[in-house]
Amino acid sequence: MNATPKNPTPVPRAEIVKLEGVGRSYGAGDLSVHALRGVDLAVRSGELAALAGPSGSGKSTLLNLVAVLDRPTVGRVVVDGVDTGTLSPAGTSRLRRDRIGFVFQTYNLIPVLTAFENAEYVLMLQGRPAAERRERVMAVLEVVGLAGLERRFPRELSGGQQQRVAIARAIAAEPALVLADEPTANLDTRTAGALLDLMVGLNEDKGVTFLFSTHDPEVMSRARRVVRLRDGVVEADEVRAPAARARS
Amino acid sequence: MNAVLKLAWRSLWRNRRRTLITLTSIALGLALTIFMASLGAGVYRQASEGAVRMQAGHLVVEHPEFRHDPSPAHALAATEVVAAARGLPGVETVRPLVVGQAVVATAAGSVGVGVMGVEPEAEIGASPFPERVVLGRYLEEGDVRGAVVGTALARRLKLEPGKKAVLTTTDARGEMTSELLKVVGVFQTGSEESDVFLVQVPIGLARRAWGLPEGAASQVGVILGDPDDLPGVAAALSGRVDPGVAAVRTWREAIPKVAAWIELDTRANRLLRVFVIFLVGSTILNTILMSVLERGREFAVCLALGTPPRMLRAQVLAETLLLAALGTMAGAALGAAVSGWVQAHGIDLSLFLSREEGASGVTVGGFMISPVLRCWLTPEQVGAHTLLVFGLTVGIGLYPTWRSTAVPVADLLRTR
Amino acid sequence: MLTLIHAWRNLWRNGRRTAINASAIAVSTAVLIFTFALLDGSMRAMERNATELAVGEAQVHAPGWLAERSIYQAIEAPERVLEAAAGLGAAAAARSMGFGLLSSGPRSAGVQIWGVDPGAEGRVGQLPQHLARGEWLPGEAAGRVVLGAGLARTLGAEPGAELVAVVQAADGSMGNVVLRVVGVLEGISEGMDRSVALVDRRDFDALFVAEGRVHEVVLSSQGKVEAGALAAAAREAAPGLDVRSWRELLPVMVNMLNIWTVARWMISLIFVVAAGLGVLNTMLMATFERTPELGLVRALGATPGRVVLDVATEALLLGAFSAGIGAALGVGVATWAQVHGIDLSGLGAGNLSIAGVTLETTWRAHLTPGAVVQPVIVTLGVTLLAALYPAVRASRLDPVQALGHV
Ligand SMILES: Nc1ncnc2c1ncn2[C@@H]1O[C@H](COP(=O)(O)OP(=O)(O)O)[C@@H](O)[C@H]1O
Ligand SMILES: [Mg+2]
Repeated sequence: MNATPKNPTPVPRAEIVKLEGVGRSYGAGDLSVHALRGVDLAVRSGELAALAGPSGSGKSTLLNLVAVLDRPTVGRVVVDGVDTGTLSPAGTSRLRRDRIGFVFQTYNLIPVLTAFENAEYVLMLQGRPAAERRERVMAVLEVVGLAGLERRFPRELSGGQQQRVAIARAIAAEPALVLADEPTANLDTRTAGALLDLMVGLNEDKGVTFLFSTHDPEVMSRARRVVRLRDGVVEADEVRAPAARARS
Repeated sequence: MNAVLKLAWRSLWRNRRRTLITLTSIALGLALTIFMASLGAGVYRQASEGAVRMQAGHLVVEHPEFRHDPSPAHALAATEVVAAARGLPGVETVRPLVVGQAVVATAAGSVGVGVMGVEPEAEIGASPFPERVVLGRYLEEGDVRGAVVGTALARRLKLEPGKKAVLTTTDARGEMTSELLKVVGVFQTGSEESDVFLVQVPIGLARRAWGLPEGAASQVGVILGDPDDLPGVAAALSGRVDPGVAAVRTWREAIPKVAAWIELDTRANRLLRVFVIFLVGSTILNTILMSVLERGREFAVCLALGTPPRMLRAQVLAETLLLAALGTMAGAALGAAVSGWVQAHGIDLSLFLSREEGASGVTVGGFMISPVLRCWLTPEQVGAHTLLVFGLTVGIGLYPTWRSTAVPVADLLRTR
Repeated sequence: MLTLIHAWRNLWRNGRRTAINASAIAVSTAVLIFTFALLDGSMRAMERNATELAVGEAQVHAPGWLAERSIYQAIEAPERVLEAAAGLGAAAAARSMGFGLLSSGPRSAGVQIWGVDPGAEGRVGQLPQHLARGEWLPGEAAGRVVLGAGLARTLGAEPGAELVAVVQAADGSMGNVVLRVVGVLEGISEGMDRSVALVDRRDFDALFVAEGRVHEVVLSSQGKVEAGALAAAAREAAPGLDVRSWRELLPVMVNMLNIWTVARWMISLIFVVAAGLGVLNTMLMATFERTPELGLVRALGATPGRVVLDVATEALLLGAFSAGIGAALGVGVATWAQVHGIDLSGLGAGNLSIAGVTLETTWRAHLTPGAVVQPVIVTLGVTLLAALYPAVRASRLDPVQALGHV
């Protein structure tokens, strides 16, 4: 907890995530479900990549593997240069804490903490001094547009506001990678659009790397890179010009 | 650490109902065990005090052989013992006694009785008999042939104050002796045994009947102001008495039946208390376990954010410690308050006693006990049970604590 | 039926919660049954001590004898009483009672001398079974005596010793005889321990010149007839005599039993609170946790009544199932404790045999139907209440509120 995190890797375009022949199946025998089969994928630092695909195509499974919440049945998952298969439980916690930010579909804020404290949580885990935490969290909450709501508890915030807190929490510690599993699925279109603006802005202005999943074509269209999954395999991986930012 | 405590504290109060339910389990459970323990202690204390004061006292000094062979020949020269005992701190009364068996006869018949020769002035306040006189008066200094008898004996021998009776026995040399008694009072203790069997006479008369010299006594009873001083006074008195001449015995040895009954019932009470604690423990386990199980998702989120498992466990453990501390504090206060109230006011069970004549009491091993139940609360009882329940709660909390980080993170995050 | 099946499935949907609830109900039921059986066991032991030892279930005396105990107040025509007892199917033993002085060397004690029928005593009570040392009376006029243990100690007399008995006989003369101690009785009652000497009735007759006087007839049906009813029947069969049940003869024992009954209720209450709390809190918590789920059902169109009914059905099903398991467990443990008993001497460091006094240290349970039914009713009732309260509250909540309920 008292280890100071390494500075973000200055080398541009480093492969922050690398999946090699990754498969994940549940159950055994005839009844086994193959959530992922033979996925190869690399995400570089600075990317804003969308994982697209219908429900059940394996998006959550893939993100969970990257966050080391789950382990592949076959293949290797390398995050930030570390083979996740070799990580100890403590190393896993450290990786999640220092290198990865996670945004969930259902926000999953810690209900007993205020917006400020939620955003501060990972910094606290890292053992940063209070003054630094305060400065960073205030800045981040400002960025996600929640200035003034710091003292609210999650239940006092709307869905969109809660998800903004979740993003603040994910980026406050300046992780190498932010994973987001259908971050907009529980939001109405307008709020979803605004949230996406926020992510795109963070990516462009601050260079935050995003890997997020979605099954919403509208949302997909905002990403520079779209990786399409179907039945656990990568069906397409396209890089294209991003749509213009809706609002600046 | 601060952060862990803050999270623990807030988590407790976030689901207030869950926390309150767990807290009541701990607090009421502790209060019940404290109440049971103090009520038991109160009843045993009353029983032993009652018996002790009807017999010689908390301590008895007697001829070393008297216990095995209570013959009048086994008397001792008591003057020095009495003086030594009177000088000890914590001693309330010292009673030289001459006890023996005899036959009391009147025109109505003859009955075998136990005779207790007493110094009347030493009895007042020390033994229950002076207060239990229902007809006539108790013995007084200067009574030479006076006697007080129990109600049942009086009825059987048609005795009442002013009537005479003859006491016959064999003295220390085996000679048959007789003494004329003049009944001055009739007592009713509620103990069938005393009321039918006991005659109290001035110690001088008893000495004459058994042919004992002035200053002799079969027993010297020592009554203490506080029964808890017993070990200290016993040790001090033993140091002042020649063990070849006299033995110092505690009431446990002198009234073994009552002591054994108390010991036995104490264990029965302890066994029942173990059952209550078992019930309380299972309730605490259930409520803590259920709260932790309901929070699996919360734990999964923390783990996904990179919370070290150790820190999460520390948080859950801190919650348990807080629960245990709050619960036992409330329970100790409640238990002490209820027990204290019952100690001060008593629970009067005389309502359930038969109103029949001769049935006025409740006895244990022949000795009367009060029908008013009172607790006897000590800081040790409260402390010991509080620690026990605190330890139990924390011990029980270890399993859920371990469970908190063994949650299937990915599965829990997937479902809602 | 469909509701039941639905409820059963629903219970297992959250298996862990159900398992915790079931264990709370089962454990509470089992502990209650075991405790109640133990408490009934000690009650029964007290009652048996009272009747089975020396007193019997009822006694017959001449009017006035109990108060005065004069040797002249004998039962007229005692055969009539013995026959009446046989007619009632009860065993009977005749006793003659007198007072005297027993001495052994320089030691003497005033005693009650009972002239007994050695064979009949074994049928009405357990005197012969309480011999600490030596033997029971031989059943012939042989000048033998059995002493209470306290009396034996006072006289320094053990089996084999010779005692001199001096009594005032019925004809006014001083009776005088040498008796040989054959046995010492222990653990019956304080009074018997200290001051009773038993001789054969024929020896009694000779010593007291009693001319066959009988002062006491002890009756026992071995529990087949209730003591009060037995006394009433005997009263009818032997008019003019003083017939009393043991309850009338031992008012202090009845007091003890009454007090113990109250104490049993107090202890039971403590246990019901502790056990009820276990079920209540577990079930309350479980049902409160279900508030969102109940809100969902409401949102799907179920009426509040329907929600409450469903929860009640589930609770009853769970309660019946778990209380059944708990009852089986409790009955099993209680039966074990009834057969083997719990040895209290293993429960503490103190010595239970103080100065040679030994008490029965085995605590035996006594399982009655009430000791099973009462706990089951308690746990079922609490289960239902603890489920209904949160369910009623949840059903009244606006579904949306309930869904978001934490
Ligand atoms: N714990 C599990 N056990 C069994 N099957 C699972 C489990 N988790 C996911 N799956 C299956 O794996 C497949 C991929 O699921 P998921 O990664 O959640 O898809 P998505 O996020 O794209 O909707 C689905 O068919 C799902 O049913
Ligand atoms: Mg998914």
